[in-house]
Amino acid sequence: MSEDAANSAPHRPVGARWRRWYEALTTTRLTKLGAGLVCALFALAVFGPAVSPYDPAAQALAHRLEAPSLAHPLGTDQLGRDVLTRLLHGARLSLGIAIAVTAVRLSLGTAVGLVAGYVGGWVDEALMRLVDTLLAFPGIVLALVIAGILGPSLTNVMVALAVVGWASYARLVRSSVLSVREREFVTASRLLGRSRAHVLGRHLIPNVVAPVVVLATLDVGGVILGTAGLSFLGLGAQPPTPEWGTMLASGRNYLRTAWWLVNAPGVLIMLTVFGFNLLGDGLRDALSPTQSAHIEQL
Amino acid sequence: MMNELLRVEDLHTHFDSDQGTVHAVDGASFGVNRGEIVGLVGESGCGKSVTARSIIRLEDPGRIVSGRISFDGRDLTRADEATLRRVRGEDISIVFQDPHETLNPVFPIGDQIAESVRIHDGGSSQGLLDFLGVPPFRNRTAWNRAEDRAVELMEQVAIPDPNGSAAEYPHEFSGGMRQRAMLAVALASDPNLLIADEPTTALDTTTQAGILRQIWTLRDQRDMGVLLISHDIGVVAQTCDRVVVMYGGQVMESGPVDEVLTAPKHPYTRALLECSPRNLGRDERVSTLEGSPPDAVGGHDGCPFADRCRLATSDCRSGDIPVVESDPGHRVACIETPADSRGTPTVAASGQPRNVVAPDGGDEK
Amino acid sequence: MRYLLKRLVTTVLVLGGVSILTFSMTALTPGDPAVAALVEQTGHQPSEETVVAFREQHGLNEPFPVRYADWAIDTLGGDLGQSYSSEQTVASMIGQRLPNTVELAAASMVIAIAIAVPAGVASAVNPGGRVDYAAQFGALVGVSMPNFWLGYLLIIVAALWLDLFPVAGSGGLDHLVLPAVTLGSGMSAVIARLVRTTMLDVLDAPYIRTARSKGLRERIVVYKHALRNALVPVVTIAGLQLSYVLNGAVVVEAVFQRPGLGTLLVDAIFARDYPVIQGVTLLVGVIFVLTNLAVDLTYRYLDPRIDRRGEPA
Repeated sequence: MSEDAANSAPHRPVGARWRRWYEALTTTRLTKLGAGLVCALFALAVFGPAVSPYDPAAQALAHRLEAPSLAHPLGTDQLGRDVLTRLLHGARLSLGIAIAVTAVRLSLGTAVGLVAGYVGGWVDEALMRLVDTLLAFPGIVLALVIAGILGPSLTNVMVALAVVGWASYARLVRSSVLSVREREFVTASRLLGRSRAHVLGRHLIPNVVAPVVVLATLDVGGVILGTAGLSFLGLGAQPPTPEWGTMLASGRNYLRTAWWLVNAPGVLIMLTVFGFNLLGDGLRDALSPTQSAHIEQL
Repeated sequence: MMNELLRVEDLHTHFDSDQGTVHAVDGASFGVNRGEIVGLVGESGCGKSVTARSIIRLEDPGRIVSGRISFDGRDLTRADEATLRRVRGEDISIVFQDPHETLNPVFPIGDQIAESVRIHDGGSSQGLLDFLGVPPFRNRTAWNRAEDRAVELMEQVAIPDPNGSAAEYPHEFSGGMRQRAMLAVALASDPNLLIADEPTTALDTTTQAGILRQIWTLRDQRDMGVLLISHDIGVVAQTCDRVVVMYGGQVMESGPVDEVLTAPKHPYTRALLECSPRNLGRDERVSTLEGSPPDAVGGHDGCPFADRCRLATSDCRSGDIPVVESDPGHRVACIETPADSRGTPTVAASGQPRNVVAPDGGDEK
Repeated sequence: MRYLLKRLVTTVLVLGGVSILTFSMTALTPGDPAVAALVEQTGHQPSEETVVAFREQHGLNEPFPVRYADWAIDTLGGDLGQSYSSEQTVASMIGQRLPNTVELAAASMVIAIAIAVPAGVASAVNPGGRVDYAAQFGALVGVSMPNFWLGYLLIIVAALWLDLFPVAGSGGLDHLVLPAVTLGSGMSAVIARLVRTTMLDVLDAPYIRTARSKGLRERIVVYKHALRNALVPVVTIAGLQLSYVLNGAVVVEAVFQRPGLGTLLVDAIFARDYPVIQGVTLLVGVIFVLTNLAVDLTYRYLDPRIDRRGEPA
């Protein structure tokens, strides 16, 4: 998406656009911290499982509930499995799910927003009422109900989270489209006889990219929390899948004896979400100062 | 100088900006006597407002770098927060420009005036709960007394139906009424010095005249000193006893209104007068001052007006510009002011041939 | 008045949408909802007759629009139907659980505001300072913390190690503290950030300078003149935080095993007790829509500049 933006940006040379993104990522210390955290997590998710000497599913009942040690830096769980290894496998799962769900939300929402904003009329009216209705529900509650009725599984959680989360993108994109639509260069190219689709591609999309990317970055954290939360409630990944929320849930019977079972996944979820939030905040401040208030409201 | 109320001496107030340090006030000196209305004139950006705010020490985000502001013998530049609060609550009041936003939009006008009364009456003990007006915590009699006083003050500044208006919010007032309300807020503390920063700029002529008349009357009744800041020479000519002309953060010329405005000595004052439509005859065209006020970043060496002045010589651009007292109480900061004119009372003799300044070079007859 | 009317009409429309969405959720069930519900209840595949009897008993043989109309009319009359898995009506089940959730929501809102307002103000009074930096960092950590983990963390520290509060369940005030802190601290992070932004804006306003010029103490300038103006947007967002409360209540009630709407919903989902799921979901949607309406109206009251002219004097 951002590549399209760079290539079709009406006024800026390609290099300047990329430089803007790079600068946005490195302006403040906190943003750098966020970018660092996110990169580190991706590295752990990609390489961690290969490096770890343990099998995430191999039970070793002789070593159950062992406290953190050199052999098991984050201890073992009630079935003697290495917690760190399971967390690393879980990172792969959580990041993958979060990105997939966010991508679906983003595409769906952007498409709806573009259509509503550009076509206008009753189509706009109908789509926006749908958006209102969706936004009228607290997201997790709705996702919980949808996932629950579909039946407990990680796929259903993903579907549910994607279905409930696209509405804010639609609203954001629609308002960006409306504000861009009336601007002179759009009118000018319409007058020059360009087709609607052409105008859309050339002028509107580049202008909505920045706010949408910011929203998506902030959203990834939310999706991670949502997946973990639903899994925690028993609707998502089922044991023995090493999903963070599921691991946390199965650790709750050992709060007194094995505190690391809930805290290790807890800390990791927090760090991940924290990283994406820092990154999103930094991007927002750097890329769209005028739109920041707008995004905050969503 | 027995009755001198305020003395500003070599005041420097700076701001930090992206471009560098802005020398908003760059060595200004002047005074205000009891019962006297002093006009502070100059183009926008010349440092008038910052000077005004510096006097009551609300110079944020600027900072006073050096100089002395003495009020009634106290040095305000060195005063602590508590003293400053007392001075603001009892001695010096200020009316700000822009009447749209100077009153708090979420409180009724009467409350905002009464609050000033309470500060004045309550001394230094300001409890948060007292001022939030939470009924069980407030002193009922004092509270009501302040409200009555607020209505009285609204009557004094000629707000119609003061009783009813007290409960209204600022957005329900017209611009002129808001400015009167602001005046009432300022007068609630019974100040010795009133600073009015462009109090009539945003208003139409009739309202403007009304408010200026009000300031006059109040000065006579209370023997206050008034510092009236304006970019409008006409307003100053009508209202003030003395005038201080500022440019580039410095005082160019100061003295009695009749003298300065009829026989200006400083090229800048003359240029300013030529730009004022009120001083023109029927057929004359308004002239304009060419160029724009100097960039105050980094301050100036020499005279700040040198770049726009036709009489400027190389001496004007470096070193100190002497301040000459040409007549008693009439000071001019210009190399060109002939020293021999000192004490010469007549207008004609004081270097008249020289005042063919015409900064724009166009409209001389 | 005109605005109010328009607002009410859209609210009713959205409520209609909410009810359709809620009701049609059943259609998502893979296979036959009646069979699914019976499997959860009895633990084995039901016989043909039981299914037919079940359908008959719960009116599942009607076509969808008829069922929706029946349900919607009953709902308007306050009748949410009969639970599949218990002998109670849905309304009475909700009635038993709702007070617990309201209690939790209210307590956590109080905690959130008690933390957020002073923190946000302290940040804004000295932006870029140490306090600001710490508060902002803390707020970001708070936003990022999954509340189920925070809940267990509090249980481990405050209940198990320090033995200050009971671990779980519901009852007196001491049962409320940990869940409310869990839910409230996450919320406070969002509100604190908002208080900071709006206070920064407001503190720059000319009327703040006027307040200072009157000789007011800085404390009064900040807490009376500035905060009252900053509260306008804060109330809006704090109200919209109800969404967060309801989301969070589901999880937090599960952590602390509190009988509330959240646990009722989760239990109903696992039991495939559709009338209960529909009832709770609808209630949540309605609460949320009505809160938004209430927030909007409060906003108008707090900011006298809005919509006062329309009213007769």
